[in-house]
Amino acid sequence: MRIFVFLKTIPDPEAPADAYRFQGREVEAARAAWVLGPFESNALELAVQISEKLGGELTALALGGKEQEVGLRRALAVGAVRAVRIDIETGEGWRSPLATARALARAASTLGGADYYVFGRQAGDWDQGVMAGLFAGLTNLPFVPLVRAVDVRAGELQLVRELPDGWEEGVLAAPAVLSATNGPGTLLRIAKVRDVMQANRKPIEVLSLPEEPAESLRLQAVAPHEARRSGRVVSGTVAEVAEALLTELRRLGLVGGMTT
Amino acid sequence: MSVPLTEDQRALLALIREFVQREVEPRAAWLDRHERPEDCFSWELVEKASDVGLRTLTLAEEYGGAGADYTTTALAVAELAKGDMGFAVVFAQTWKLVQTLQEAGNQSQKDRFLPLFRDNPRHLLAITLTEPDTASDYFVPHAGARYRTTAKRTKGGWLLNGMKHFISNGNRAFLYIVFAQTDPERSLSEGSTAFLVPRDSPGLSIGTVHDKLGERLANNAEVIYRDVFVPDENVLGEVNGGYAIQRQFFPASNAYAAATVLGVAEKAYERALAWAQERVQGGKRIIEHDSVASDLAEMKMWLDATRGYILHATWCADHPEHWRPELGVLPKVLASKVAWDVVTRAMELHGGYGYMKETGMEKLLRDAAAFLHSDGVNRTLLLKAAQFLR
Repeated sequence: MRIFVFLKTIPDPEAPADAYRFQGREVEAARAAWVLGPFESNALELAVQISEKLGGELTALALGGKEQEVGLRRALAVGAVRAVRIDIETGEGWRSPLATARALARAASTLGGADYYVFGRQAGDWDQGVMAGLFAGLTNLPFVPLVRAVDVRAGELQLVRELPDGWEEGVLAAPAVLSATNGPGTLLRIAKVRDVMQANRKPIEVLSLPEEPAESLRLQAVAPHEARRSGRVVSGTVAEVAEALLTELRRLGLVGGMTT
Repeated sequence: MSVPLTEDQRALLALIREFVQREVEPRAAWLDRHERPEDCFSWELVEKASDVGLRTLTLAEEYGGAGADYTTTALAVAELAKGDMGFAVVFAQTWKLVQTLQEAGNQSQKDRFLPLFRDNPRHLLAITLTEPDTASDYFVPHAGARYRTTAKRTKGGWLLNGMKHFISNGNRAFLYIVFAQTDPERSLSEGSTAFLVPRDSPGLSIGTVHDKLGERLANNAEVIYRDVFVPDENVLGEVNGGYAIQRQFFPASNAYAAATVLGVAEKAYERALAWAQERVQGGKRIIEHDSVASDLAEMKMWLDATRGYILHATWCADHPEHWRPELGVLPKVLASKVAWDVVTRAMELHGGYGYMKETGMEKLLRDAAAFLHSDGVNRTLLLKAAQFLR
């Protein structure tokens, strides 16, 4: 049994807005630490559990530069036996989600494939949430999104999948793709001290893939939304506060012109 | 403060931060509020720390630990103390005494005691030096200084009698390093001996568990010895060589105490900074008032300087050829003074909110107060350092 988990190390989503610098087509995380994406941490926990329960061998993969080693080392510290950084020369264009999915599929194939492929439900930086589905489409594998818990009964992988108003449970035969969502069953365990230190000494393989053909979409600019202005505190008697709020709402055109 | 950290140190501190956020911070204030000191201590937290390998941080790799050096340990202590100072003390004591046992113990002692330590998730250690009438005396011994706790020769070993108090982990430890007077004619600097005493030794009992102002997640207790038999093989170092053990095998003890209270001060500073960036008075955020901004800058300066001094001391402990004895007493003096200053200023910057329990500033203040005396009263330590300068 082989399990591949796909990780993405991103600038800390908790970092303040001024930790980022926007210049033309580039966003530089000038003062944000690199961290494993939140849903990838759920994916990693799920993948570790699958490998523990089914007795499989876990490989962690990440596409990108050296910063991706943060997540890969975390994977090595909690049970991955192999960590692979997929290195693709960055071209002029914009790497669309489909191009990334193609690269991941090629990497998976180059590494001999797996029985289960585990993704986070969405990356914590761009939140597009399409990677697992695209990968499943490209590899022609069944896909179960939003998995919040796994178990093994009679040698079969049981999944609990999150629904808008509930959950559903089922059995997933290999090979298949699944994406993890957050929940108590996917909270990434804290690694053990010795394992963390040993993970620092383990090699991270680099798999170099040729550059993808140019995309039809070219990136021209990237910029943040205008920062939200701070609120204004209104004080006074209840009547004064109500009057002030109504005046402000009228000014913004959110209510009509009734008088109090 | 940016000091060059190794990859291992960086990863360890990230692990501790995560452990603190997930396990310590949600429980610390609640545990601290319990009336009985025993109820402030949490075996659950100790076991969780054991589970991730924190308890065995300083245990040598050959015995199954992480083999952390003095600098790494001090960094870990400070990071843990940001979550709760008492909890950090529980581990700082254990980490330092494991290092002492590994340095000063003979092979038989290490082989007997270290696997027991490794395999029991609740195994903590304590050192029993302080007595009601012998405290600063063991830091700066004079000719008349004696431990009242005595060890008298008997067949195959020693009989311990006496009482120690204020002992960190006193009621929680599974193994004690006990200092006792073995030659009543000489000062404790020449007539005391260190012994390794397991908790289940007949005659060893726990007295009062002290009720404290702060540092409440750690217990301090009286430890009583009534005819406790200690076999010869449990003498740590030489007979009448207890003071040499103190001098030689605790190089970073003072720095760990300093790191503990530094963690509290850094936490208070972080909270004050965040508060100053949010709180609006006088029509602008209070950090935009010059007096507040300069206060924060000064706090940062003292904290960085203190962290640098502590890490200088631990680096020298890790590289003994650079060691200077005053580094074994002065870091805690600086750290406790700076911490008291920073925490009181941080509380003041919070205005009335700082005095209310809901912000947690008062807990940091109560915790920081512990190290004005703990690990040596500051004026005693200065006197000790002065001895090295003469």
